[in-house]
Amino acid sequence: MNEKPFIHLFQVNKRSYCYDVNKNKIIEIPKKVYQYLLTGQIDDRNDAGEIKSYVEELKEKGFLKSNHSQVSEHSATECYKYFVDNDLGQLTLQVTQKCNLDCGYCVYSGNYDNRHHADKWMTFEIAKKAIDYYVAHSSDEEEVSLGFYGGEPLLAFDFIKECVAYAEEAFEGRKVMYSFTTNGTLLTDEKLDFLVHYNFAVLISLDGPKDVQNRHRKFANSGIGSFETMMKNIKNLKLKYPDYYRNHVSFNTVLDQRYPLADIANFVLTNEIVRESRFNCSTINDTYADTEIRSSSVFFEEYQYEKFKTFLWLTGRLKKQEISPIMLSDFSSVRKMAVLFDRYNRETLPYKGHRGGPCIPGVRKLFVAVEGEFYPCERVRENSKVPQIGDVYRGIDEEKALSILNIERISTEKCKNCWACFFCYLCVAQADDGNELSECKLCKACGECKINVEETMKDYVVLHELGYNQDLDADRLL
Amino acid sequence: MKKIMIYPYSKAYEPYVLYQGALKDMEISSLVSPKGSGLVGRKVCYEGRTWEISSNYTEALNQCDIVWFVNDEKFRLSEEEIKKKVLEAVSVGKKIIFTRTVTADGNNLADMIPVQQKIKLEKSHMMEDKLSEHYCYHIDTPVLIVYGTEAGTDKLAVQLSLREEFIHKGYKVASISSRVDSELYDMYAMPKFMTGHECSEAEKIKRYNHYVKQIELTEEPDIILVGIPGGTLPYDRIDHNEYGILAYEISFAVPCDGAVMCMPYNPGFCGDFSDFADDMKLIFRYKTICCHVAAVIPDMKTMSENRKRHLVSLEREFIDVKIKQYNKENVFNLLNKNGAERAVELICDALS
Repeated sequence: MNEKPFIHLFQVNKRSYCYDVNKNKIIEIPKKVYQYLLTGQIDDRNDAGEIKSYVEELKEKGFLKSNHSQVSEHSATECYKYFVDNDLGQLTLQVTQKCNLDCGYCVYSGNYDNRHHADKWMTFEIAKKAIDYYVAHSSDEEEVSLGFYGGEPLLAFDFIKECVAYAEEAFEGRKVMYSFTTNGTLLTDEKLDFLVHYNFAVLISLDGPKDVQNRHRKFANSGIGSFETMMKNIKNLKLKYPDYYRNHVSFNTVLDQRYPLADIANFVLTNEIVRESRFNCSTINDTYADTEIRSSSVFFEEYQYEKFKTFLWLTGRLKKQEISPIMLSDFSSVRKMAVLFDRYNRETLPYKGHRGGPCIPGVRKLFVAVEGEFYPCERVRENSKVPQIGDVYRGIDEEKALSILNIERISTEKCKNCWACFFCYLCVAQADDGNELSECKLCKACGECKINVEETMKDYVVLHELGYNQDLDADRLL
Repeated sequence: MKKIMIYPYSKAYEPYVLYQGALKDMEISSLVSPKGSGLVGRKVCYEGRTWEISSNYTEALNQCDIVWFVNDEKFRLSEEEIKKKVLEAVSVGKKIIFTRTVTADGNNLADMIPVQQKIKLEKSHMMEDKLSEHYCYHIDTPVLIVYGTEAGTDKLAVQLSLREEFIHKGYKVASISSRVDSELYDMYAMPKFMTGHECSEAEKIKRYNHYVKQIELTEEPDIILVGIPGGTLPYDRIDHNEYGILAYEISFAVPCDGAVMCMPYNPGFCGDFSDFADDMKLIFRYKTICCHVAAVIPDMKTMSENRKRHLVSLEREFIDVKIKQYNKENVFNLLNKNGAERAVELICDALS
């Protein structure tokens, strides 16, 4: 072959696949063709005609092109100003940096290269400016979404009430959806009434049964575990507002990959209060961690087992009641990939292009820290100027935001030749070394990213082999 | 000259501000939008005139003669809120044009307006169901279709712009809007039966043909401009544009002598719209003569979230620069006077 096709080959369950980057499609191919595309060699001369005609047929169908994007530029670049002016989708206010818990794995615990919990509080003036900014920069959005973040946001409950009152007035004529993340220890009746009245979407952090929850999630002042307090509050919430609980409350579970998983999966599945609730789960984030966190073999095995059960459910071989809800969010990466395959059909890569990963900073969402600094989201480090994209006084720093949007420019050659470019999830969070966007830092995360993309592709093809249809997810989840 | 306030103003009503030359003895004097719209304080500019969007309904009420209550578009105003505003206008004796859609529960706030204060728009209604044949009539006047690749791509503004230019050149124009609230601008509205369920799809085709024929017989125009509501072809499984059903039905109801395509700005577009135009010819028999690039861009973030995509506003000046870069004789910003002039020349050549 004269030009190397821009493809990625992989095998799963003794079947061979080719992901064609230009067409953004995965196709199953015969093993002989797989070997030929992989090595350029034909082992058995008798197969040469068959293999070559198969390859020619693929080419006629538009596969195996060698095109790469020539210029590294995110498609939102030239119209970025207009996206910023009209299309801000979500605003999150960091109402306080203080927390009543002291969780060892928290990115603000002091064990990470990030800000630490602190006795800092947002002023109402800053909140008003942020909300006014949101009103003025979201005229093309049909719905607006205002989130509250901490520390523990419920420590600033009166402040949240003030912000909501102000937002209701400022967004006259539009529906505001409210949300916040909480550790659940401060959910009193008075607060519940307020949250229910405004239909807040509430994400409660719950790691599992008592011993698991209390391993990390302890009260800052006493060191006592938070399990009993928060479960009492959740029970009360469910009893008092069952419909609200069903429709607006979900849980966030941080899995400590150094410990077994089975107890957590079982707790979530069987606990009378939280079973049938929605769970998001993730392993401990080590992006800015002082030390690397390695999974234990027990965790890995149990995780794979739970994932296998989830696949069986997704393909109709197990009942929903037999699946631990914590695995459903793990499956979201496959679902997201399925959407990208479905909606991004193309014949070839565009002349100008950019890998996946960065959101449009200050557009999809905007995170406002206590002193009014703007960040693309709450997952970037706040002790670095690199991800800061403006503030409530000056608005968006367009130059800074564009450099984050076009983060591929620090690694153009690598990225434009990378088969996983479309599904890459690396952004400023992985490239920020505290001083600048660093190619070196980014590349450390690159290998793992490619492995994860390939694993997701494998999950995707296995599920499809087993008859999975993502369109039926909504019905299935019911 | 009677002064009109539009409430609740949104970007969807900008064409009515820009082309108010078509109003008779009236002018748009104020645009009032809810405080939370994000539009308050912004300006609508056209040919040296500027309108600033305000949220002060009462102040604008004092300065106008007529209040035009329009649909919410992106707002979620309660019926109670609208009712308060209507009653306030009624109480100070203002004339009222009410083109808001009747609510789902059938509650029509227009009924609260005293007859002597209500300005009725019945031009379109007069053209409905006048003819009796059970088939479609020949339309002898040239028909120019204005269609969009998706909703929100300036179809109404393009119709108004082209009409203005055709009239300027001495032609008599009859326009059938892609919207139901265009009568004030001497246009015929999109008849409600086309989107209702009172008759079969075949019946809709026939009634729409009769509607156009009656307009032709009454007005004796030199050209008929027909706007197609919404989009025309499914973008993908999620953004299906109602599968282009209305475009399909209208393509049977009226012959298309030529068409103008309206599309959003797309960074990958280089000025060649022939692929889409070929599809339109094959499916609807629309012969696309030229293309208008609207000052909007699809919001990419909705795509990966599997939501229906929506469009983000750009500035018209941005599009003007792009049109120059395309350097094509059939790609325009038709909201630009120069673009409209050249497009009408092209259309006249194509239709003659």
